[in-house]
Amino acid sequence: MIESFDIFKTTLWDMAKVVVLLFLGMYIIFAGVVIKQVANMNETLDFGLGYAIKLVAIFHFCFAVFVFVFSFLIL
Amino acid sequence: MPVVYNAKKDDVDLKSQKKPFGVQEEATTDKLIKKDNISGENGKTHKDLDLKTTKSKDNVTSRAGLFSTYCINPRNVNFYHKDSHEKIILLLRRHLITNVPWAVIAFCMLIAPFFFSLLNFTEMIPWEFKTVFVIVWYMITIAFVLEEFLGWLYHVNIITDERIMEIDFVNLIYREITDANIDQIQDVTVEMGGIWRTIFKFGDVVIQTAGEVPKIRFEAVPDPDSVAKILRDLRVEEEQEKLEGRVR
Repeated sequence: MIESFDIFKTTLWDMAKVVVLLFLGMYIIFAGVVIKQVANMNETLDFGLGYAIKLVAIFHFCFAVFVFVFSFLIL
Repeated sequence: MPVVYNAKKDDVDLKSQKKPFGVQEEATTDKLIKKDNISGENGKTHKDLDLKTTKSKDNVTSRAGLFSTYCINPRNVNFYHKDSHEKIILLLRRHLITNVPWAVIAFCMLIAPFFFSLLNFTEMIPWEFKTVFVIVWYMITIAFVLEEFLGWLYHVNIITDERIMEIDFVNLIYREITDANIDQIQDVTVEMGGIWRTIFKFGDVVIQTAGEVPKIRFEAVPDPDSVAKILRDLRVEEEQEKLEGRVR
C-alpha cells in the first residue's frame, strides 16, 4: 500500500515537472513574441525610447530562458 | 484676432528652460498662433515672454518622455506613414491614473506568494517545486505588467496639422491604426464624468468624421477641453487654408 502511494507520488511530481516545463516553454515563445511586438510598436511609433523598451523585452526573453534551464535542472 | 489656446504639458523645454514634471503651463503652436502668448509662473508678463518666444516660436516644443500623456509639439516623435511636411501638434496618451487598477493587481500579485507560504498545505510540496512555482508566479506578474504597460505606452492619439490618428495595440498580434483628415472632422464632443475624471481632469474626446471610420475616440486623455479647442482651431485654420487655396 505504502509502495503504491510512493509510486503515485513520484508520478504526480513527474507530471508536475512536465507541466511546469511545458508552461515555461510556452512562456519562452511568449517572450519571443513580446520582442517582435515591441519591434512592431517601435516601427509604428518612434518616440526615442524604443531601444530601452526593446532592451527590456530582450532581458525578459533571456530571463525566461534562464528560468526554463534552471527549472529543468532543479526539478 | 490671435488664436490662442491654453494647455497643460508634462515636460516642456522652452529655450533650454526645463520645467518639472506635471507643471501646468500655457503653450502655443506656431501653426495656430499669429502672435505668441506664453505665461510662466514666475511673474513674467505675457509681453516679456512675447519678446522671447516670437523670435523662436518653432522652438516651443516638448520632449515626449516615457510617462508623457499630453505633449505639445513633440520633437522626438515619429510615426508610420508620416508625411515629410507633416507636423505633430499633440501627442496624447491615457491619463496616468488609468494605470492604477492594473498596478494594484500587479502589487497584489507581487505580495501573494508571502501569503501562500503561510498556508499549511505548502508543507507537502517539495522545496524545488516551491522555488519554481514562486519564480513562475513572478514571471506571470512580469508578463502582466509588461503587457499592460506596453498597451498603455503605445496606445497613442496624435494630432498633426493634417490629420488625427489613433494608434492602438489591442493585443500581442493585433495593431489598429485609425486616421482622419482634419477637414473630415464634423463634430467634436468632450465626455467627462465621474469622480476620478473630474478630480484628475481627464476624459474622452469623441470625434465624428466624414471618413470611413465614422467615430474616433481619444480615451481618457488629460485636459480634453483643450484638446477639443486645438481641434476646433485646426479646423478653422484648415477652412482658412481652403479659402486661400493653400491646401496641400
